[in-house]
Amino acid sequence: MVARYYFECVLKEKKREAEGLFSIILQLNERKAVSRMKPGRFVMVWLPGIDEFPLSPSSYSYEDATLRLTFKVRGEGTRALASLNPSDKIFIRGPYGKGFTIPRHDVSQRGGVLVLGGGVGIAPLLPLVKVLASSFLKLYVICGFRRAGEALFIDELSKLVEGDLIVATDDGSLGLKGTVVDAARELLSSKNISYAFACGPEEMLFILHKMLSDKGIRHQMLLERYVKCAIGICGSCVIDGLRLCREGPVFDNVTLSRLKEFGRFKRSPSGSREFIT
Amino acid sequence: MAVMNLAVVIASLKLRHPIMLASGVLGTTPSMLIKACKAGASAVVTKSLTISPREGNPNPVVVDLRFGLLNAIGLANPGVEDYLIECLENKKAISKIPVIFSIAGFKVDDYVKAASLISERGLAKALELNLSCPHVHETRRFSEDPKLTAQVVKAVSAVTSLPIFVKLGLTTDLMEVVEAAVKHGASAITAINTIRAMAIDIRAKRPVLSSIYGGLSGPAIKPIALSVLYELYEEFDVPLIGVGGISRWQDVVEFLMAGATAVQVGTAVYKKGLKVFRELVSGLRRYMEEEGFRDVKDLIGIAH
Repeated sequence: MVARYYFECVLKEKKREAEGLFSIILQLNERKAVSRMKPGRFVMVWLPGIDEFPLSPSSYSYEDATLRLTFKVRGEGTRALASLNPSDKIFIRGPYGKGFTIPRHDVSQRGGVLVLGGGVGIAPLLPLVKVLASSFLKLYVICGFRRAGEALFIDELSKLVEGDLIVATDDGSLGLKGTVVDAARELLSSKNISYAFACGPEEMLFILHKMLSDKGIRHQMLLERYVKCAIGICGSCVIDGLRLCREGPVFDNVTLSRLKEFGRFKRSPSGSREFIT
Repeated sequence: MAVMNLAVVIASLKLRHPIMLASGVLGTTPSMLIKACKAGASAVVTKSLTISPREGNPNPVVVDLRFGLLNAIGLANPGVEDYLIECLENKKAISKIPVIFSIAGFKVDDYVKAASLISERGLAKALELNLSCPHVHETRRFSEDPKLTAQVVKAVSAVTSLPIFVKLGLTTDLMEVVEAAVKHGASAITAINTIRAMAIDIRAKRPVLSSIYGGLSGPAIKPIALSVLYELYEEFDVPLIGVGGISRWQDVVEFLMAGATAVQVGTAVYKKGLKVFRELVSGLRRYMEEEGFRDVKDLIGIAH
């Protein structure tokens, strides 16, 4: 039995979401890759001859066998991905990682659930918001961007959570003026929140983790590291002995509070430490 | 129940049982080495360290073939100095575990410099010279020419008092290379490295690995590695460390019987997780009980 190395996908649609931010919808010729998808898991996207890198889909459909990838153009790989055209072929493997765990109902009975996204970090949270919106009574979403031009998924999120979407921008050009942290502080002072989820820049996540922990609010965060093998053997994505690709990329508050590397440094492809602050 | 001895000794390295973590697997960070030891490995080998940091090959660098694993990480590592700094930050935990530092280089002097830096820090229990990375030509050539092997082993043994393990691969002149290594100061031979191999994606119509060629590990190479070990045991009087596709306790027993004093496990950690170490150790122990062996050393080379 020889494994298939990759799932072949055809680019069905491409959309510019905001400044430097794109979404592509991939059509798979089989549902297998999608059937094991869940919010927070990721796929390795291979552009032959260029690069292979991890992305956590911003939506997926088992019925249609499609995945939507939303990404910021940051390097050669994402630039090439953004320059693809409909009917172009790319390859994916996965999904990998553990993804988000939906809290039990009795947790959310005690208060609302809060989802926090910073920048393009909101993208992998969208499938989670969809699941939460259909099963939890009180759901709040805070998303923050540097400025209005970089905002994404506002319409989609408004449809899912209606009035409970709070948008913040650093320059005040859309929604509240301020950061996700500012908006979260404000919301937590007036609302009873019992659980939270977050994804975004690690500086932001680190502050949110402290803030939520101080208030005794359980939470899960989706972290980012340089991923090479994605199958747990090379060690490039390790954070304090935990492999992001196997034990992550979503970590709960108990784990996060034990991680000495969280909020301090990431590793380059060589494994060298790159300090965050 | 009779007391059973699983401990083995290779030069000055004492191991509480013969099963260690192979180089290249998870050893990018000291935190993972500590974890592998806690999980039951008797010693851990770091990822091969070079004098300067190396990003390695661009992705994709790994292909899961089911019967084996193909990788072309390309000796990615933060460089020996940074690695040592991070180890020193975890000195308390690291100094308690038997860490074997793996070194790779492109010229003799690279090995010498790295070996002296590592020896000075006092954290290593042994050195393993990776002379055989199958997809990095500059490193591989050290194991393809007995003269180069001799040079590098001799030069390293002049700057360190640590045991020197020499890691070799499947090459045509392997016996001459081993002879050169043993003659010039190798305390043990680690064999075999991954075997050069490749995979082509038939839909993408091109090699999967960015570097085209990689190294094959896992169950597919076990019988090959075993035959190399068997032959080395016939020819040389030097401790052997068997590596290549060991994933079941029966494999451990086979390698010991072929003549290995200890074994290293890599790819099986991916397939089975770190619990593989306990599984292998308890399988070995059970086998010894069944067969009436009191000392694991009695198994070494028994098949000859």
